[in-house]
Amino acid sequence: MKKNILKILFLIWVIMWASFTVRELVGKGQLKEYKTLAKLSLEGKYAHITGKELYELIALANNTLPEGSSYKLIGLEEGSIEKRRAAYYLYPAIEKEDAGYILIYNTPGFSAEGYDEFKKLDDSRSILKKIGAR
Amino acid sequence: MYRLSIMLLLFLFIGWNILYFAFLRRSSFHLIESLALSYGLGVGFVTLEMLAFSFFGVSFELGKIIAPWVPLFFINALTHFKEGMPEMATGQENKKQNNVFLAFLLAATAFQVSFTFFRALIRPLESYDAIAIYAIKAKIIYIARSIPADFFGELARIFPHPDYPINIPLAEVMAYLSMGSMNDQLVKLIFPLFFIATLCLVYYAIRRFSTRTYALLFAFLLASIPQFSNYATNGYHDMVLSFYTFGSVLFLLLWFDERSSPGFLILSAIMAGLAGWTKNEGLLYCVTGSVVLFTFLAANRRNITKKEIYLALMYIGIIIAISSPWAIAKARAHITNQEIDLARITPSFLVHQLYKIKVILYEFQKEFFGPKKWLIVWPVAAFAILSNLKKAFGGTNKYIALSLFLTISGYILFYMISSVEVSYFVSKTWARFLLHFLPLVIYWMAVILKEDIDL
Repeated sequence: MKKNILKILFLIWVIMWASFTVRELVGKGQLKEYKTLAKLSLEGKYAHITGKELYELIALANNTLPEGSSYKLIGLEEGSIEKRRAAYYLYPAIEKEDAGYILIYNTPGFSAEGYDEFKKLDDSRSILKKIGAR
Repeated sequence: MYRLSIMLLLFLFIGWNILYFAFLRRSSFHLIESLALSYGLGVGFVTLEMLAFSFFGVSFELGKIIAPWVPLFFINALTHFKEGMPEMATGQENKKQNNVFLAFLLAATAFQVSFTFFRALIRPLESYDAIAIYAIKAKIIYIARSIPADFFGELARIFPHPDYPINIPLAEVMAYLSMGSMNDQLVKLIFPLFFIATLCLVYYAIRRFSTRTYALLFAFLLASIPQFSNYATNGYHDMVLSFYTFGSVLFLLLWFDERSSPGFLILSAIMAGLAGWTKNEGLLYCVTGSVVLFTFLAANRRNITKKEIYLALMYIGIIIAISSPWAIAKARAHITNQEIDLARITPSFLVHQLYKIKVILYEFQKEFFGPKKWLIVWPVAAFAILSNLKKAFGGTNKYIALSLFLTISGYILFYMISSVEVSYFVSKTWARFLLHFLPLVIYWMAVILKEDIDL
């Protein structure tokens, strides 16, 4: 009796395992996602995961901010995964309140006293530089 | 990729030498089991060495990291050539022909392992904790080639939980040093390697008392659990922790059965210490392991020798030795856990927290019946235990039960005393905490059901 119950439980286990695996791949579109990822470079994967628009701003900052800079990022919710990823990609630049640069994401018309426009991607994404900063 | 193999070889090489030394060159491990253990030991000891380097202001360079291990290698090599290779353990042969079933298990496990490697390596590190807590620390340390002086000060403002141990962030730094660049996609190889190492540990643990097919059945069951394989791909440290925690309990149980040599006890203590060096929750396993050990000694006091009591004290000593460097680093920086304030725990405080039990139990049952993450592992485990009560709680198995009881009680206490809102906290963490003792539950099932499954 117990042996038969165990056999049935194993069968249920395998069926569930197989169906969840297939569902993950096909039903949830992971197969398509894997195909996309397989074609991308590492930088392309960062952009794909982070969101192309945000990653373009991060890449621009990484390419233009001088070494040892500090920044403040506007337009992302505090503690959100996007904000955490940005902090990770932008390091060794560190976010500070009184920063040398302000990265503006998804906030059209943003301006700050004491800062000038430094780089601009479009109306909602740009970098401001503190007047007198390196 | 080939440069990353330097890291793997280094971990294996150092871990192997530690294992060889700990067992006074008389280990009875199978070759693959030794490799699995060597990997986990190598990771843990290399990162502890890096932490020690930071105390003395030594920068992280491959040559400097390898150099201290060279004498150990020569001691082991000399002994090896003098005494020859120790005999490896062999399990029972298959009782009857189960070729089709064995082929299925092999194919299914191989698929699950390959798929896990693929899923880990197709994306760079990107999940919340993997980036926000761990990878950022690895990046800071890699760029500085050391743990910077302001790591716990100014820099700690850009990552949460500075008190979390840095075993795996330092292993990531080691991978970057081996590769010569910061490739946070290939670095994820660390995690599925722990996945396969845990499967090997479980397989060979069961192989000690059963056949190849039976052991592979339970290795497959573990590998196929979605939550377990998912956590080998996302850069979280819970699956890594389960490798160490399982090792700590398993080798303790093996020592209970075979006390002629201290090897298993030493290894258990090392694994418990490394669990504490991987995640704060690992410290719970240091405590539960010690309680289980002293319970065993008390229950068998008539047969216990003085030497075994000294060995038990050594067990505590090893755990303290491994846990101390990080504790010192935190104490120097005045870093404390943000969620738990031990000073405010009083009996009346605990009584006031009792309302949380209802919320905790509600979340527990959600996981118990949650097939998307766990398939049916918890109901099957419950069935196995309830239908074999005598076996589940008899002989050495009662110490598995005690270990699990203490662990779960520890987690419940943790939820009770935490300052984080309980339903949020339990719902965010319990599914991960279950991973920490999942391999032990699978092993327990294998022990209990041995007579019921004829393979």
